[in-house]
Amino acid sequence: MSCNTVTFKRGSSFSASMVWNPEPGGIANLVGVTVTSSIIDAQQNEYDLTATVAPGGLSVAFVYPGSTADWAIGTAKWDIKFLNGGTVFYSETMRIDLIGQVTA
Amino acid sequence: MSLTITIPGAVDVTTGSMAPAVLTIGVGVPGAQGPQGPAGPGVPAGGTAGQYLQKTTTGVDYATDWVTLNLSAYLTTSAAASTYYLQTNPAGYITSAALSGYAPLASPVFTGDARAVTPAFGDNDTSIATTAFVQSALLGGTAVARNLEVEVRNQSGSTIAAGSIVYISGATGNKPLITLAQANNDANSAQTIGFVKTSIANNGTGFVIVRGELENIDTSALTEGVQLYLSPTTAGTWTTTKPSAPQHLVYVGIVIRSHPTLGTILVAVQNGYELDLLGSRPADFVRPHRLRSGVLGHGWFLPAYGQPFVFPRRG
Repeated sequence: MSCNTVTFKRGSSFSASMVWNPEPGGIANLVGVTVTSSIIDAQQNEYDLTATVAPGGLSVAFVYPGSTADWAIGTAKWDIKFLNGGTVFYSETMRIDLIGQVTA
Repeated sequence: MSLTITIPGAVDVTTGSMAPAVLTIGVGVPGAQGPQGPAGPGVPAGGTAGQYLQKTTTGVDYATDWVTLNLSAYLTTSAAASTYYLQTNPAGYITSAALSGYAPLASPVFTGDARAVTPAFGDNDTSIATTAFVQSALLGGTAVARNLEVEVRNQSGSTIAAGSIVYISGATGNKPLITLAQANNDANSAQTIGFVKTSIANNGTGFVIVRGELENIDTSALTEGVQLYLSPTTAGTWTTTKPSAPQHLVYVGIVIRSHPTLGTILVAVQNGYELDLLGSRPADFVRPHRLRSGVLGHGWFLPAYGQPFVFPRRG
């Protein structure tokens, strides 16, 4: 597993695509699983992402519909919540090093 | 499980590569998995709604299959084809063969030495009277013969109704023949025997009450206590008017209950004897009913009709 920290320049449109890698004995796909995700910046502002599970349940597309220009400079935290029936589980927390843009 | 996340516009800090950054991260375990089921083929495939699992092979674990519940082996139809009985064992189930040994509730016909509970001495209800009860009643002196009846045969050519007054007109098959009696002449009245108890069809047999109580007839037109005589005008019926010569006098009974359906007559047939019916009569007393009563001379006295004859006094 690689380091879960990335650098992101605020102002850019934030989107991400996720691939579900099932393992034996685990959940085969995300069909029927509710996927939600949020980002909390360095000033504890929370930004909810729009998650769309692809047909087949093996991938999810995340998009922040607003502008990221106002996100606080610093380290933001991001994870993904999965609700499968009555069971809730989360991904590991990813870190996003938000840096300011130069060009206005 | 893991996730591979691609983020356009981001830079992977580790690799420093330009966008899109790709992260592979773990996912929290949902929870402990439940215990695994026992070894075996499990529930067999197939089947239809309403079917049941059935053991198919003795001694072979998990040998089951889907079957439809079939009770035909446990049921059989009766002769009526609409009644079902439990037919086969396990023990304790009633089989159709066993049911054939039971008498029906309605009009049972018992065989063998049928028995019943002996009612208490003096019991007088709808209990079954056993031979023991009858014997005790006879020994106790409580059994009273209310009627004297005789079995008769009707060959008159038509049905004789209940309550009809009949006379013995012959005999056949060890039974007396009966004919409607009428007090119009000696032949139709002299052998009057009694009242028909219940209707007797032509060529049928029944009972005539010779002495006793004739019940359940219409006596509504009669007064209780009135005496009845054999009718000289209508065969088989009675009259409350005492017949006189040339009609014949046959006293048949007395009304003891006046009722349209539950009337009762005490049957006590007494044939009147005309003088020409008496034995050892004088040869010249041929038609005494034509004679007036009184002294006949030479010691002979002719009494009134129906009165005892008085023999002449000698010396």
